[in-house]
Amino acid sequence: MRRGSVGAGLLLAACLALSVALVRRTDEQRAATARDEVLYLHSPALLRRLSLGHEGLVADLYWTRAVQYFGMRRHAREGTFPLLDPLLEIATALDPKLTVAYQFGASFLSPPPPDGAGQPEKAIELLEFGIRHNPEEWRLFYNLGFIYYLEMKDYARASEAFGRGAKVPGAHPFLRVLAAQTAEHAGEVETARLLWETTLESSTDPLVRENARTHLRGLQ
Amino acid sequence: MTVLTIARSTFREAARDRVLYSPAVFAVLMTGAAILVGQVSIGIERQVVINLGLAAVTFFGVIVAILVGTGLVAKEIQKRTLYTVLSRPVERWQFVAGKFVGLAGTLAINGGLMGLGLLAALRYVSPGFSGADAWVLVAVYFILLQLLMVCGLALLFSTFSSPLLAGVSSFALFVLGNFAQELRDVAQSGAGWVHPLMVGATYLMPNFSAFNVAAGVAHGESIASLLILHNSIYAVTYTGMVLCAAVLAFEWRELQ
Repeated sequence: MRRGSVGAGLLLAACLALSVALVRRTDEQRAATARDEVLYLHSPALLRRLSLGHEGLVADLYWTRAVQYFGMRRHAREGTFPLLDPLLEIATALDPKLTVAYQFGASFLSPPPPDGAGQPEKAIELLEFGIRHNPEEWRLFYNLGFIYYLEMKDYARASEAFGRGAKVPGAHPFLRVLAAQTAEHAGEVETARLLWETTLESSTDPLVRENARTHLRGLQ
Repeated sequence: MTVLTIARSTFREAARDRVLYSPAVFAVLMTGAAILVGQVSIGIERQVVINLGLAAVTFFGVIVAILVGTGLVAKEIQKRTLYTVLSRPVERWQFVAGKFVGLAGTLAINGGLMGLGLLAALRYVSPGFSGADAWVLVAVYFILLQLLMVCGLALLFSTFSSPLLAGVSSFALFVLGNFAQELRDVAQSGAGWVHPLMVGATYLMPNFSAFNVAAGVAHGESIASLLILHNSIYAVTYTGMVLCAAVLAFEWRELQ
């Protein structure tokens, strides 16, 4: 190998090591100072235009950012989630068919802090928006009734939401039972157990199933 | 025959420029994205693979169409090979048509390979093919139609301007084409002599609004056969118009 090549290779390695060290040092300094999380673009209409026809991909990115944002703040036990609702609003406005964002987004928004954002009214708004764009998704009605029942303690509306969901073709048969149960036995432990059992049975997501198991253990 | 000979030579030149390497980059990007998204997000692996895949096909395709397309004529003049070609019994329109067919073929092979890569990535995240996967291929077809139009525009600009200017103009029209619907709405609200001028200008731009179906197909939505037919005819008509303009510009050009 030529001496010039060896020299260039060594210099390259040295420069790389120095730049990595500098970046790490800068990251440490940034972590030490309080960093404000900022949402630079709030307008879904503007984002839609900037996406040049690929708004679905931008929606996926915003949904992923919402998941990461919620996960990190929850893990850090921050207790507040100021950007969660705007992130979910942007993701669903860009792709109204992104049903996973309604289902999980509502479950991020509704529980009281530090487990959630403590914004059940925002979760209901999100789900109603989702239902308007995906009336065939019975799970959204189920999520809506769930939040009315457990977070808002509004049993009449919970029963109504389950009842609306039961009318959707292909809906889980338990929705009809839940509609009747929440109307007649509101506030009873047995009804809450039924809700969590339905969640456990109807979901394939391991995180949701584990959450349902935890709640069922708590009810025993 | 002459057109096909020029097309073959254009394709070979593009292949020599390693243009066909982009599907390999695409494959790495898709595999990486499919694995990464599974780790950092919830429930959107399939959507991300489709949305990112279609965006990447567009991105790589537009780059190839503009970078190669704008240099087609300029390079031949710079290397003085154009004079050799035109000194033979080759009409100028045949030269333009041959260059277009060669680049369009390159883009079609490139896009086709990336489309197959996208299907393979889909197979990785959700085993077994479904009927909805066919709509993904239709979305790739729509992108190829858009690239055909961009390729025509790049060739048009390359017949009378520098590669840099031709590249900027083609990219600007690609961006404007995505806003065509909004621009037409704005133009309709104009008054006086500006109104027909603005409306006319919007019709000269490519209309890509109807070609953007990525978000729908990511959710398994079907595409109306009428839209497929309409977009196909529009792309052929618009490209034909642009190529005629390119031939006229090249016929009028003084070559010294």
